[in-house]
Amino acid sequence: MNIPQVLDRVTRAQWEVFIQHSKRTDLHLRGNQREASIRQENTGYGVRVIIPRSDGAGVGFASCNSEEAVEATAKRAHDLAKQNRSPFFELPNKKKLPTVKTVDTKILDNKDKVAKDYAETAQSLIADEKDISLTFGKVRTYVVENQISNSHGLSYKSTGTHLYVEMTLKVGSGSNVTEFWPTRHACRVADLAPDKIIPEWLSVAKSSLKRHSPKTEQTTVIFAPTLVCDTFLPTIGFHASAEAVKQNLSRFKKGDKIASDQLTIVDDGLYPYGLRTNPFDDEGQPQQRTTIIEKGLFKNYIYDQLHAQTMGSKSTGNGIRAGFGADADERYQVPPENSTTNLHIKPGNESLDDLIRDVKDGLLIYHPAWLNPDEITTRFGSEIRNAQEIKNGELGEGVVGGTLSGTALDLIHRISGISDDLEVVSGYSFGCVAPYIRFDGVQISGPA
Amino acid sequence: MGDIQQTLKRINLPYSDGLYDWQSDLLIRKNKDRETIGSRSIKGISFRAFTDNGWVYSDSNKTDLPTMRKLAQSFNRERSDTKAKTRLSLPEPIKLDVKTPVVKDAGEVALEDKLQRIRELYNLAKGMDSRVLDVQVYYSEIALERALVSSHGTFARQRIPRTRVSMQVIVKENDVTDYDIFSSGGTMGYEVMENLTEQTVKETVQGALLQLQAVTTPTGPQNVIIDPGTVGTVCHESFGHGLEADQAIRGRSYLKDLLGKKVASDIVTIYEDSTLKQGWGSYQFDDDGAPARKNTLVEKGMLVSFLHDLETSAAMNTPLTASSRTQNALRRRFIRMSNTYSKPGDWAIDEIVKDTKNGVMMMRWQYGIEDPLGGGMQVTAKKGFLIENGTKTKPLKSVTLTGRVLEVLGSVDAVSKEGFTVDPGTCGKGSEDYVPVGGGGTWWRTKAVIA
Repeated sequence: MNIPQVLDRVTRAQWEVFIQHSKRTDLHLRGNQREASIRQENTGYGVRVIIPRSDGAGVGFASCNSEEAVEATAKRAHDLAKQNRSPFFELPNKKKLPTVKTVDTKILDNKDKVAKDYAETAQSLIADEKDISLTFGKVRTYVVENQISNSHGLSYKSTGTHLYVEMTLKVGSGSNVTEFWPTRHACRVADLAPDKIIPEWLSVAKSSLKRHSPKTEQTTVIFAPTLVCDTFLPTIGFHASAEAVKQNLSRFKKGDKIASDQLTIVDDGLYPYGLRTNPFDDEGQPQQRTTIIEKGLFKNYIYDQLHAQTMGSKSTGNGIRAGFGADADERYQVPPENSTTNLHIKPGNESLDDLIRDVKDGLLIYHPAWLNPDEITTRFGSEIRNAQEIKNGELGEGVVGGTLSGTALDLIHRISGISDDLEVVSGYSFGCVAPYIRFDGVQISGPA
Repeated sequence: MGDIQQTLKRINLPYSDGLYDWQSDLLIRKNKDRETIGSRSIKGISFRAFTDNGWVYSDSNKTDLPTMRKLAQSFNRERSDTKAKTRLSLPEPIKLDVKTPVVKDAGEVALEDKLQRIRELYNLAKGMDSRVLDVQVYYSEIALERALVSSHGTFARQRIPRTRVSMQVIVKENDVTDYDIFSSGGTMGYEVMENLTEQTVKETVQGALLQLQAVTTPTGPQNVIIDPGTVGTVCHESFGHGLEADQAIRGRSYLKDLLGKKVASDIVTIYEDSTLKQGWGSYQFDDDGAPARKNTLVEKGMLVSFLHDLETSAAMNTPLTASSRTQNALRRRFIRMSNTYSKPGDWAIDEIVKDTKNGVMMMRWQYGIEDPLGGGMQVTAKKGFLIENGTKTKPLKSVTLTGRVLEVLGSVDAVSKEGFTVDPGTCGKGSEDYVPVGGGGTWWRTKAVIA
């Protein structure tokens, strides 16, 4: 089917179609067994139509996952646009695209084998640990082909590979049990290599074998990279967006001191094998690097096409499809919004060991239950699920229970150290390149 | 689908089935800058078979007969031992074609009329106070069509409409920005709009303005009075996930050995009810083909039942609970909750407040997360009040409740007779596989760690 011809026939207004074709292999694990295996293939189409009005535009979006339904979907988007009231904006024209790394050839060539080998290696490594069992695990490999075309003649394609790993690692026996439950996404196996990451996870899990609850105090806390991502991405990402500025909700003003001197953050759409790395954003603008915070000073907002044009600026390649629960191959279901690509937090000069060594009394938190800070107020409060105490510069017993709370925009003034290594991470939030970060004066509330 | 059923029956495996799913929706959002209108139509077919290697799924977005036949026949390569059938508890085959009734079919209301109502609600809230910075009105209608055919003889189809409306009022004064929210929805039609009245809009605006004076919540263990939606979140997230029997079989449930034992105070009774009229999580039959039912999970503090699918029901030799669900045909089926709520008690809400010397009140749940193995808990609400000498005093910013689930349930010493509501929500199995669920009950008072 020649989809641009179909769209030209359906509407004389501006149109855009975003197409994703994906193939997945999912393996679900329990101990050394396989609980389920799932093979899936899907092709989805998201159509956006923009019709000029005297007071702006009408914008309609519709999606489907059936080629036979594309024409009806385009008509639906057109009909929705006729009723809608939005500001007018132009879809992008064709431009030179950057070269980026998004494909792991191992996954591309044989995703089934990569998933099977990964699962078996992980199961074998976990089985070797006498105090730890794999109660449930998921290994997913998938290949996604993305394509965007619009009525201005723009037409791009890209391919991405993805790996998702989730493990629930039960520690201890009898009534003395707890677990570590990591979930991670990567674009290549090397960023989640099982012989590296599984021992790290086992080590975190084992640290909870002997554990106690925290006491109520304000103390020094080191956040693991996934926790840094879950704290910064929804809050700094939101307040740095042009949409937040337009809504008068952003707390950031250019040139203002908003964080510790140590903090530099770049929205990096080009980071090699980053989770949201792509040559073009989800409305066809070239992705780029945009400095958001430099040495504690707020530098730049991020723009999608709509907000760039309505606010007299240029798109920074931040039109991203990222709906709630939408996986990397389900983005066709939602329209682009003004959002981050990869939030790249620049590393510091100290190793994690150095960060720990300087702490007399504090915590290293690997995993709270679900931080989920409020994007407007940036407040959070979350139960501590996996942490270790730090005493006189050394890691000690596990800490489980109690609550970590605060506001993210206050926390970024309290940075006292950033580690020199980075990880491509996701927690509940998707798309960060983050180090360990140490904060002073963080509120911890114990159960007694 | 009859042709597909014959194909499944010819496969030499103890059990196989095919689930067809078509979800179409309309999503509208309005704020001061723009309106967003989107519509989805997502369909797929999921075949699965029970084999020596566990469940094997073969899923596709292509729902034409040749593709479906090919997917079903792919199981011919799989093997299964002769005992496999005894490892499944198969329900009586059902033959059914049902549609959940509504008062006003949302699909029959013109888009223009929906937009006009949304714009009216926006203008109403925006015009109520100069400190109202923005108002976000969300409306969604989802039409689900799901059919199941099995090698065992089930041939059933259900159509379920779900409609939801919510409003977020954002206010700003000096440097303080905050908000309040209202949400209502269910397996219902456009009549849901009648729940967002001028009075509820006014209360949401007033709630947001009150947040401008809110103080930070005092941290630590204390008495807490929690509203019905938050009670539902405790019953669902903190407690219910531990009753999903797949977690028990994996050795991942703190409730595994507590069936028939005391898990809550005597005044706590908790139901899991996929038949609840207009419940956001209601359905006619689950995705294993078991008819929807009301399950009692906790009866006067005693643990009565886990939640089951075909496999766990056989393993634990107990009846099916109609708890197998999937997000769509491109996902696996897991044991999930539907509508989870607590039974009303004997107290008046005012009596509970008056009877509480000091503590906090927690209102407008936002999210919670499970800890099925450890029995820890985290539930966060948007706002609350300080309780001092039996009186509601200062408004509080967001309130997070943590602690041990069994201690919190065991400490419930007051359950209100008034205010029964079941709120709409979305639940993941971990951080994936989202299904619509309801959670609610009436007001509780208990003790927990608050931050």
